[in-house]
Amino acid sequence: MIEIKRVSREFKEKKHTIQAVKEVTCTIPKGEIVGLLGENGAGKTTLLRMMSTVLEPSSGEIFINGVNIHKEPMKVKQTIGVLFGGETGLYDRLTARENLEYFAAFYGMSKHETKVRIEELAKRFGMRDFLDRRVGGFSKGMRQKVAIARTILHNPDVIFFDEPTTGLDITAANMFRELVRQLKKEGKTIVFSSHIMEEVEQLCQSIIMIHKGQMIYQGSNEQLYREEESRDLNYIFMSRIVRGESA
Amino acid sequence: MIGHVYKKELKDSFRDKKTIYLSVLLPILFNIGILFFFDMYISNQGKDEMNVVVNEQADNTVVQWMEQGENITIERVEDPVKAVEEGKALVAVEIDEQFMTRLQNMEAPNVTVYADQSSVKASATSESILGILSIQREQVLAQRLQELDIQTSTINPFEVKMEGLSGDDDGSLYIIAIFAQLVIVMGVMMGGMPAASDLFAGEKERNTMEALLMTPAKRLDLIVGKWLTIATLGMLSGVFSVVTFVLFVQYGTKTLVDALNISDNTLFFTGSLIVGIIVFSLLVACVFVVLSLIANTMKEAQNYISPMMTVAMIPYFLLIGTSVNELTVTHFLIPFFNIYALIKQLIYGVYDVTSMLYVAGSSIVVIAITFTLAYMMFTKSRWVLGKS
Repeated sequence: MIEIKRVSREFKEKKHTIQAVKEVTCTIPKGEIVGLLGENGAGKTTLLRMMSTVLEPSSGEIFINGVNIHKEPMKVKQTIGVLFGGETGLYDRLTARENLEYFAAFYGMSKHETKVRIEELAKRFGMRDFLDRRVGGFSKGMRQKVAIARTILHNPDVIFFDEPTTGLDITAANMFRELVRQLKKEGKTIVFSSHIMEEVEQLCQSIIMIHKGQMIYQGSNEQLYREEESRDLNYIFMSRIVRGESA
Repeated sequence: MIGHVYKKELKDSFRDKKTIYLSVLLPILFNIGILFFFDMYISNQGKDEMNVVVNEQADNTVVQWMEQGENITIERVEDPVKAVEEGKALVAVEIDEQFMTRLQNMEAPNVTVYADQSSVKASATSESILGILSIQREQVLAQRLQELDIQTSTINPFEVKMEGLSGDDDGSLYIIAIFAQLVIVMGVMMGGMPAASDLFAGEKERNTMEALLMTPAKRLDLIVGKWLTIATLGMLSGVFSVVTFVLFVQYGTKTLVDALNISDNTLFFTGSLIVGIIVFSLLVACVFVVLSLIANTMKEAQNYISPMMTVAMIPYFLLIGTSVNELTVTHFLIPFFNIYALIKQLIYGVYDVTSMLYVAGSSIVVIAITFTLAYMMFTKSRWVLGKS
C-alpha cells in the first residue's frame, strides 16, 4: 500500500521557483496496478522519484507499507524496485551477470542466493546466452531485459516504472506487458507512467492523471469510463485537461 | 560494502581504454620522451662546433691563440660581421692590423668581438673567445711587470672566487629534480582523471547513479568506494611514472645516469616517496570528486578537471628556482607545493623525516576538508541527479 499525503515539490531556479508537484494526495492499495498519466512536464517523473526515495518532497509525506519514506528511507528501499526508462542504469563495461551481482549485494543478498536468483531470471527472460557478455554490446531490447531483471532482483513488493516501453520494438514491449501481468498475479503493487494509452488500458486497474503538477483524477478505470461516458482514454484525458478539473 | 563498490569500480575502470592510456601508457611515453630528448640535448651541447670568422689581415699569432679553444674553428673572410649576419658563423672577431707589431711597440691595439646575444651558442662561443683573449692579455701584462721588476700582487691586491654549493657540477641533478617533480605529479593527476569524470558525472549521464541511489546502498560507502578508485589509479600511475623514470635514466641516458644515485638511502627514499604519492593521490582524488559532482556530463567534468593540470603547474614553476637548502617548513605544509618540495629534497639526497610528516599531515587535513565538502554534496539530490 502506498499513501501520498499532500505532497509537493519545488525546484528553485535563478529567478523563480517551479512547482513540479502540488499537494498530491492519493492512496494505492496493495496489489493494484496504477497508470500514471500526464503530459511531458506535468510532474509524473518527479512524483515517481519522490515515491522511490530519490527526491525528497518539499512538503507532505509518503508512506509505503506503513513506513515513512523520508524518515526510514533504507527500510523502504529494500522493498521497492525502480526502472526509469530511456537509459537503463546499467554498466556497459560489465557483463549482465556482473551488473546483477553488483546490485544484489546492496540488497543484502548472499552469493548463493544471488546466483540462484540470477539463473531463475535469466531463464524467465530468455537471456541465459547473454549473461556473461558485456552489456555495452546489447540491443535495446536485451538491455531492457537486464534492467528489468535488476529491478525485480530482490523480489520487491512495490515496483515503479517510468515510461518503460519507450524506444522498445513490439516484441520487447509485449514482453514487458506480459511481465506486468505476471507480477500482478504475484500480488505486486505497480505504478507506471506511460504515454501509450492502449498500454494503460490493458494493464491498469486504476489511473492517476496529473496536469501541471496537480492531480486531476484518481480512481478506477471503470469509474472514469462511467463519468466520462466513454472508454477512449485519449479522449477522456484531453477532456479532463481542457476542463482543468481537480480530483 | 565499501570494498564491494571499490572492486567493481576498479574492474570497470580497467576495462576502459582511456584508463589504460592515461594511467599506464602515457606516463611511460611521457617519461621516455622528455628524458630522451633532453639527454640528447645535453650530449650534443659539448660537441657543437663553434664557427668563428676573422678579418683577412688578422695576425697569425692571435688566430693561433683562439684556435686553442675547444671546438673552435677559425676562418678568414673579407667581411666578418657580414658573415655572422648571414648566419655563416657564430662570432666575428675584428683584429687591428699589425696587431703583434703594435703590441710589441707598447701601443694598445684593439680586438672587437661581435655576436648575437640572443643565440645560446653564439653567447657560449663569444664567452669562450673572450676568456681566451683575457688570459693572453694577463700573460702579456705579467711579462711586462716582470721586466719592470714589479710583483703581480702590486696591481692585483685580492682574488675573487665563485664556488657553487649545489654539489653537482654539470647540472644533471638539477635536470633530474625538475623532471622528476613534473613526471610524478603529472602521472598521479593523469592517472585519476578518466575515472574521476566517469564515476560521478559519467554515472549521472548514464542514469546509473540514480539506479544506485534507489538501492539501500549507503551514500558514504558509494562515495568512499569511488574516491578510493580514483586515488588508486592515481597512485598506480604515479608509481609507474617513478619506475619508468628511474629505469630510463639508469639505462637509457648517457649524461644523467651518474647523477642519479640513491643507493645510500634506498629504503628511506622509496618509503618517503611512496607516502608522498599516496597522500597526494588521495588529495587530488578528493578535488576531482568535487569537480565531477558539479558536472552533469563527462565532457563538462573534463572541462572542470583539465585546468587542474595547469593550476598544478603554478607551484612547480614557483619552486623551480628554489634550491633544496632554501626550502622551509611552509613549503611542506602547503598542498601541491609540498609534493614538489618533497621530491626535490629526495632527489638531492636530503633525507628528512620531518618533511615527510609535514607533507602527509598537511595533505590529510586538506583531504578531510575536501572530502567533507564532497560528501555533503553527495547527499544533496541537486548534485547527484543529472538534469531531468
